Amino acid sequence: MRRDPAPGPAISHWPALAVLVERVVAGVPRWRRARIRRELIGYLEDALTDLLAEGYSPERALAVVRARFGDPDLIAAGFRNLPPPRLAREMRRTAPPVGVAVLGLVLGLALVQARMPTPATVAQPPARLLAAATPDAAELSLLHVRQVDRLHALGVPTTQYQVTARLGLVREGAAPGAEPALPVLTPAWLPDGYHPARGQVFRTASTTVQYFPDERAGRPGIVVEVLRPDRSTVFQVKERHVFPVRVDGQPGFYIDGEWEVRGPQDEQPAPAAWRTDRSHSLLFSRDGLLVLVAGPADVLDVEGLLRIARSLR
Amino acid sequence: MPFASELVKGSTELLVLSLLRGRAMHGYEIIKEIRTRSEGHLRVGEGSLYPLLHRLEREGLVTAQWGGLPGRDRRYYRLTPRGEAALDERRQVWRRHVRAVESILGVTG
Repeated sequence: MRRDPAPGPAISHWPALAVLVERVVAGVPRWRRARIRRELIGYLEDALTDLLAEGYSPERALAVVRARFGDPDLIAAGFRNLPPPRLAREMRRTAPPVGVAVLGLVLGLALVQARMPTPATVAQPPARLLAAATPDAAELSLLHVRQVDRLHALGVPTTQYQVTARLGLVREGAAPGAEPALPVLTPAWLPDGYHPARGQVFRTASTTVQYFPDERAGRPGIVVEVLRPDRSTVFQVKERHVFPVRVDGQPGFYIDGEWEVRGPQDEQPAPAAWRTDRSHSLLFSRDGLLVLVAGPADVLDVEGLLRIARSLR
Repeated sequence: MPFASELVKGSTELLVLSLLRGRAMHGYEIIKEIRTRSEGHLRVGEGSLYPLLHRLEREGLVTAQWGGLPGRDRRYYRLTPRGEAALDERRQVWRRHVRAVESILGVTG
């Protein structure tokens, strides 16, 4: 039953009625006041207009409206004591079982992931690495990276930034006793405190040069290692991130976390095996060999790693 | 002669749900409808009807939306399916209650 608008009569009496509305809304939470005020004003307008139309004097109409309206404080209490919205109640009621279900799901996923041969997580690589072109799957396959093969087997496009838990280089056609001489690659640039001329060279199945800082002996060095992909394995021990990247035009990976290099089975373990904690590194191909540039993250940022890699001669 | 206020208060929710079955109404319409249909015997506390409407909305028994003419918009309430079910249930309870009272009063149907 909608009535036509009848503006006019009620207007002159509005201040007296507005007091009622304001007393109500003063007792309810601020965020609910606008709607309640708007609704009560509409009611009072309609009630007053009807009484005036029935022939009530303005003073008498006003008194009747006030009487029918009731005690503003009791009305405000009615608004204050409303139950929470149904959705909120439902959420509160279902929160414990839903929480248990979510926890179970998370634990289940973690269990499934732990049983996978190549547990995978997804993360975003550092923005500076994203700027570099990502190598395509064919190029990555040339690196004989086991994780890529596994990702292929799983049908996961390697162009996605998939992070695997194990980065292993497949050894193919190993020829014990026929170690070719691997070149020593020297960086033209190193960060402050490190000098290209002060590297210690270790020759095993790979060629490793470690650059120690001038001060603070015992601090992790910066490593430049050249490996034969058919003889050595870069093994990810406790990785955080592995991202495919392109280094100086060559396909490779950025590795953030612990790693080690394992030489051939017939090789003595030390010093060919490197293990560096709290370090990150770049592993990329160059002239059919693999190059690993690694360093402590608090000394070398990603840009520093890339700069060293690009300066290798 | 108006009914006792407590009796009216207890049945207001049932009255409101019943009136909203079939069409949307704003608060003042509901007040007038109760007054008219009961021939003035039933009078709800007009100001307190609005907290009741808000409560029914929070309980999901009615929905509300603004409508009407520009400058004179009103909030229209409409029964939800959940409200329909609640109304059916409360009508049954009311009828059982009335029959019980009538049986004691000796009123025959």
